[in-house]
Amino acid sequence: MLRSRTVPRRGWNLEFVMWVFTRVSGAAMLILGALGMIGALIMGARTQMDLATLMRWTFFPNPNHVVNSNIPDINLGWVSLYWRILQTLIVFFGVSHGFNGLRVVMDDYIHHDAVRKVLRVVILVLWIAVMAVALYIIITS
Amino acid sequence: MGTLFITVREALRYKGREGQWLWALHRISGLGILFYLIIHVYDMSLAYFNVPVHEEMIALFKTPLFSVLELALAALLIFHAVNGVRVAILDLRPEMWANQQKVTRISLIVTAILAAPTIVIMIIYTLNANFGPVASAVGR
Repeated sequence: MLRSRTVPRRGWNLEFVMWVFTRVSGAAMLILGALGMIGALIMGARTQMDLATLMRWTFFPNPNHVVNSNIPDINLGWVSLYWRILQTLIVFFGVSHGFNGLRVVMDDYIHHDAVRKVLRVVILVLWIAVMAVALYIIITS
Repeated sequence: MGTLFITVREALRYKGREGQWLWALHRISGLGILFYLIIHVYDMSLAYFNVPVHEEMIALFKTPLFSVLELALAALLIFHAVNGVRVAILDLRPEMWANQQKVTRISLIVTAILAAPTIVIMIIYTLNANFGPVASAVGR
């Protein structure tokens, strides 16, 4: 049951690309979080938002999304290309980082080749579905 | 299920100390955050596709059970971010592996420094939202 797997050739194989991506996306999310918070504070969040609203806004800056929060008047510049790009990048990196992590953990514990392949397809479908829904909300809002 | 049992048993028997505990916690926190993300995207999409169910879910998330889970989510998210930075740095700087215990301790201390005020503030917000006058003595 616990036998070794063949290792792909060294170089730019999937495992290495995703290893790099995990680090790049992790760093990107920290930087995007900082950019979101700094951007919100520059745009007047200190007087217009409370702390909880600022934190929610930092992670997903979308006025239609952040319910139960006192988002300032949308006309004051809280809907702009800056926030649209920011939330698109946060969703892309966050969802991809998460589902790749799920794939890595799944690969470690599922030893049956066929089952692993099926589960990889399931994870890929889930990744596309979550990303599509999130991007739909960004585009239509 | 047999594999799961072996995995858990061997993980507990293996004496990897701090490095292994943080490795396990990193996986668990990552999976927990992903679980939240999937539920959250599903729930928020219902605000567009099925408003009554969305409002039902929002009401469910305001119950005490989910308020406590939210605290855990915040702590795990902060831990995952801090510990992820540690993992990334140590992957690139193998000479730091000699100080593994010290580095893991720093990771936990930074997590605590960032998570403690976050959780206190979240508890104050939750108390204020649920029993306003009671919590007004606490803060705000």
